[in-house]
Amino acid sequence: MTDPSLTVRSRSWLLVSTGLALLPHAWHLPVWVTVFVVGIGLLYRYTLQAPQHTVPRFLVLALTLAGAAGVLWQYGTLLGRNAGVTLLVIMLSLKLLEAQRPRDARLVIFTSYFVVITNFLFTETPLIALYMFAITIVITATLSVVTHDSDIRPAHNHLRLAGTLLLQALPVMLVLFIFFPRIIGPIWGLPKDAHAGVTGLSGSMSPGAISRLVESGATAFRASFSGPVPAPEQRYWRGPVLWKTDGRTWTTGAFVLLAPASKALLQPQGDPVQQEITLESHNKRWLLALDRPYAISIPATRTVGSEWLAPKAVRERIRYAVTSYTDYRTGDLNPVLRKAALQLPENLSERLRELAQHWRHNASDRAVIRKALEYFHNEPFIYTLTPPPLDEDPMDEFLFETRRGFCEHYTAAFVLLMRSAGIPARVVTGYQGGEYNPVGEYMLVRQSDAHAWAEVWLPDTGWERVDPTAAVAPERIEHALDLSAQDSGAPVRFRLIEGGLLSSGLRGLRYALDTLNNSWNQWVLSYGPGRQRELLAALGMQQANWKAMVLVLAGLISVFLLGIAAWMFLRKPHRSDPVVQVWNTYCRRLGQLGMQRKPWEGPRDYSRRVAAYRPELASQVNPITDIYIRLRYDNPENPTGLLTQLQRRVRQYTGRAKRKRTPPDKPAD
Amino acid sequence: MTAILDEIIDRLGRIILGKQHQLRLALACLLARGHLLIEDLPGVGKTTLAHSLATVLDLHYQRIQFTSDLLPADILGVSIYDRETGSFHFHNGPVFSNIVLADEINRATPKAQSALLEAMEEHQISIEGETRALPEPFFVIATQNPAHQVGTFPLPESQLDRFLMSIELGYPDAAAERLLLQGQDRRTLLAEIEPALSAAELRELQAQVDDVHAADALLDYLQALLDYSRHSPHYRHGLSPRAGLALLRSAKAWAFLHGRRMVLPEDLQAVLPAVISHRLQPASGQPEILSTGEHIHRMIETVPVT
Repeated sequence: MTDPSLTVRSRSWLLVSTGLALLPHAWHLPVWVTVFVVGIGLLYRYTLQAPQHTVPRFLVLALTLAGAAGVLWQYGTLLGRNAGVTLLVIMLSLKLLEAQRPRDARLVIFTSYFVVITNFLFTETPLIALYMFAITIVITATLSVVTHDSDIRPAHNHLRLAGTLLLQALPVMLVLFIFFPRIIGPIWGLPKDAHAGVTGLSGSMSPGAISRLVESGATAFRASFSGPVPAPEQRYWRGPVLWKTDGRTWTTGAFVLLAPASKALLQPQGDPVQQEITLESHNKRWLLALDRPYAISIPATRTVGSEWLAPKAVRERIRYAVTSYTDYRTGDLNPVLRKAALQLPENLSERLRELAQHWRHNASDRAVIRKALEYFHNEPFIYTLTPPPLDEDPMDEFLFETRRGFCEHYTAAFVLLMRSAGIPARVVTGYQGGEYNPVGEYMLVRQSDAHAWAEVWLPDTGWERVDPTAAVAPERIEHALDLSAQDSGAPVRFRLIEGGLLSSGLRGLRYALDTLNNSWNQWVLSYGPGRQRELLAALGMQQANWKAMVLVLAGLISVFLLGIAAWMFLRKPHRSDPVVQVWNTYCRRLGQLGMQRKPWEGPRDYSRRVAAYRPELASQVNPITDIYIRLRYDNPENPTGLLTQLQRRVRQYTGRAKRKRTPPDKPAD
Repeated sequence: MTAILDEIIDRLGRIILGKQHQLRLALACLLARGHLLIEDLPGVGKTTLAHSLATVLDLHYQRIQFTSDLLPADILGVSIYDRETGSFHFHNGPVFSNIVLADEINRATPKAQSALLEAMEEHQISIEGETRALPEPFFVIATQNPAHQVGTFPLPESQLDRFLMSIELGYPDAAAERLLLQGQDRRTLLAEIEPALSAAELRELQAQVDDVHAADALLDYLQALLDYSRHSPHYRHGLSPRAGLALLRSAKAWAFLHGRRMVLPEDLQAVLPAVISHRLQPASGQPEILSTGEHIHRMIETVPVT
């Protein structure tokens, strides 16, 4: 039982569809894998040119081993997302070399479907989804080509068939998507290594940390406001609060600083700002929100630093509503926190301490702060993304020698100066600014908006935000960074609002694209149990449990299928011809006796076959056939009479056949 | 009437052994006023078939051996100057007969071929400004060697279309061949055979074939077959309306030959291979897995009889 070899046409289809399925992986797999796969594709292309061009078995075996060895060398394992997908990609391309027969070709096709799905392990953008849909059509068309191998109907026939099939599946897909009971978690359960490359605030800060983060254009989160959008100088998005330093690195400090704190920590002053945040996965527990967050809609912990922490690291995109107050006071500082807010590194530089003491000299807290900010403003400090490296005592070198730094340098130096002057202070990291998208009416905050600022504790108002960067580069607060041209040590440039028709057009397009992305995130990717419950409630299904949902699901799909069945049934030409009706009844009855009329069999051939098979039936079958032929193919004088005759005979016959069938015929010995 | 037709088949069958189906097709072709193309290797009895058909039907028979140097005048005839009357006198060519056997038609040049093919279509010839009618009935049996033989001019598609049917005789089966080897010389048998029908009676039968009834249900089936050929990817072109008419005429003759006054789907199925095999070209790029016969078989098994 060997299938015939596939035609060159089918195998070319196979090559193209496999190539298209593998194409998106070229972006995130190592370069050598792409080269390897393209090489195998070319080898396959070569075998298509003539039947004598074959790839020897040992070569396929060698390539297989080489591919597996390559994956092991690259990742040190064959498991996990990256290694697994790479292995799958390599093996699929190798399977192509063996695809000479329909059976192998089908294997390649089904694996291609799977490879297409693995794209979702890397990106989930609407663009890739669209591409995947198109590719699925091509792969299905290839399946059709391979199945009808000897046919030569044109390519668009196969593509149309595949498109029709997928479009027909679309309603079922939508019903399943909306009503299938959801479990908590992302659509794709990802292996651990999938979170490796996630960028975001780390919960610690050392010189250079934030300026590195700023180079990423990735989205941090999106925020939409139910009221007016806060002014640019209020757009501080609160993230990790750092208390402890060793002179170079700042960390969150003791565990107690992340412990739950009471609501009384914050005394709101002005109007609340309501916002809804869609936070991208960043593999940490912090839930970012506009400074200062007061209440949050999901289970989370408030810390003494007014941070909000999710119970677990955020490993998928989540959505939550936050109430913030930009105008507030905080309460007293208890001794533990005061100690933490005054902690200084052991090897603090003398120059720094002297500078702080010098300012302190009988001055008030606010005067000290003003002097520090004036110092940054008046001395030749430069705000740059690429400061010179700092060695032994970074803050000393920065303050008195290099004087070039990014926000983390200014903030860290400022907090150290404050603590040296006896003012409790801490570092806050987060984001500052963001780009308002007028199309989607939300604010897009990127990693490049990452920022660090200081908070000082004053006896009359409590914790108060001070941004030393604003003293050096006030534009930072108003404008985003321009990352396009950054020479080493050069001052930062800012992206000013561009004029011109083209740039505003481009901006509009970018806004529209990001809005699309955002809706896709909200409605497709984040469609979890919560969203599902909301939607079902809107549809009038309160307290939907999974049983009810399964019932609705089954019901909707049944209705859909019944609809299709009804349509197919009604579409069939209505048989009003009584002659044909009687004849069909008769044929059905004979069919039940095991003598089915073949669709293409004429009446006379049929009755001859029946008579040859069951000679005892000939006396009834022949007259029926004769009358039928006269009615249907001749021009009889008395059709009504003949029809009655036919009906009577068929009735008699079917009755008899039934009786005959009841006791099974005994074999005639 | 059927008795006479059966008698004709019976008499022919005594000379052409084991080829009942082909004989019936040939006779049906004649009754449907169509011309017959026999495609086969030399020596399977093509000439014998033509000759015995003429004898049994009591028709005037002429044979033209087509060669590469055959001229149209060799087929149609030529005017010769008559010295006594002082005028040109036309001498009828071999085409002026009831049954013309054009032997190995693909050996002649297209010019000579077209001279005969024109006569087939019009049942008359135009020569030297004069139109001359051919005798009735006029029936051409052309034989053709398979085209891949050396030194042939294959008939173009448009001319193949003028033949109502194309049949293959094929080798006789073992039993028939044994009888052939044991029996008398075919030529002697041919001489002994007696006519069963007069020319006038044949014309009468041909007229009756036209009256055979084709019901709407049958025309539906015929149209479904034509439709299939036009939408199937297997053929370069679908069947033409002329091919549809040819199918109906042949099926009528076939039904008549079997003693019926109405056409059944089975009649269409029986004549289908002979009528369409020379009219359908496989589409280019089609892997040559199926023979033409197998294709037509598939066509029959695909289109349902309702």
